[in-house]
Amino acid sequence: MRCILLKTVVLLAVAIGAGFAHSKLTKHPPDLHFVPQNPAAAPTGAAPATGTTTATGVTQGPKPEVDDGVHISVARAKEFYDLPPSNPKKPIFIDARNHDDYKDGHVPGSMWIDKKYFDGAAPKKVTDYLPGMSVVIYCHGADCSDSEAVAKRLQSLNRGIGPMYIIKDGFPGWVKAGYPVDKGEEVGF
Amino acid sequence: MRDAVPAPGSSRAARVAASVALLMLRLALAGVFLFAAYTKLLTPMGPLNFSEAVQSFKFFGEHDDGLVMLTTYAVPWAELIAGVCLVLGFWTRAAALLLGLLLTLFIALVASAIFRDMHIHCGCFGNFNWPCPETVSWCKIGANSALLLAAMVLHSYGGGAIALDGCGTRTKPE
Repeated sequence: MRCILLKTVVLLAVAIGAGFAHSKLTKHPPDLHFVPQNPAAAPTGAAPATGTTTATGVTQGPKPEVDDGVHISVARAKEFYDLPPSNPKKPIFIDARNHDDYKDGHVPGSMWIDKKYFDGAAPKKVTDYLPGMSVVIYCHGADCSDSEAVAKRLQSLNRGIGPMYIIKDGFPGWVKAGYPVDKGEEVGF
Repeated sequence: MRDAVPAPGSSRAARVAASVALLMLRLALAGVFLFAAYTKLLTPMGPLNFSEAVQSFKFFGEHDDGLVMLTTYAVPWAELIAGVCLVLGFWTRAAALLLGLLLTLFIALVASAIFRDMHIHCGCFGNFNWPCPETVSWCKIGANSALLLAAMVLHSYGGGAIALDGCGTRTKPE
């Protein structure tokens, strides 16, 4: 038994050594954090920040501040959502969850993007609709990292997509605030 | 049965059957982990996808980038090395023990994510999701438990006679 344990330790040590060497020698190490290249811009033409009334009749407080230029509150996301279509700063909402979750409920007009579709060429709808557009990305909430994963991949395309925002509380926060929700397949992309 | 060497009285057919069964089990388990290593190391987005999976479990702190990066590469290398050992039947018990330890860790992490209601991807096989959906679920725990059982069998019985471990020995392959 001691011999087997020793051999196991040897195999583990070789694996750790090989992994360490690979991580140092690789030419393209993975980006562990999303660092936006384009600074966040405030939406123009937004309604005065005196408070808004949600579908449930609750009046929201003053406009919340953007935390770090990327992660925004659902109230801030709603301000973006409320921008008129003619406003050039109106962002496209992107749902980074899986397709079943998207069909069960999503922000109206949002584009569904799964990060796995970036394994080959960028999805056509990304290259057709997103260059030059700002985007608001959401997934399951604070514990979900798919929004950042999609943001990283969009940025790596170097297609001028941005500024990029991520809804901190994700779709659950949007629903909890009583904001509009659509169901079914993607429309418009 | 500990050394996968049937008792002196058993037939040659039984010995051959036992060795073939162990070989099939080794190849099956090795196939799973070699494929897992391939998706993590050799596909274009493999390291990025797996590093994001490692981060999403929140096992390390937010600023432990070095540990995340090491895990991103060390885990698939462990899968690769153990898989090759199983194919060759070399240090079979040790390789099975290593995989068993990895699987135990995976099961614990997935269970933890389920109890914390986290919608995250395990990153086990890149974008290939069979037989379980991509997000962590009890299905993943079941699948990993089946693999763990296979690893335990190999750790207990060894690689059999059709293995490098068995070359040059008659009674104790490893």
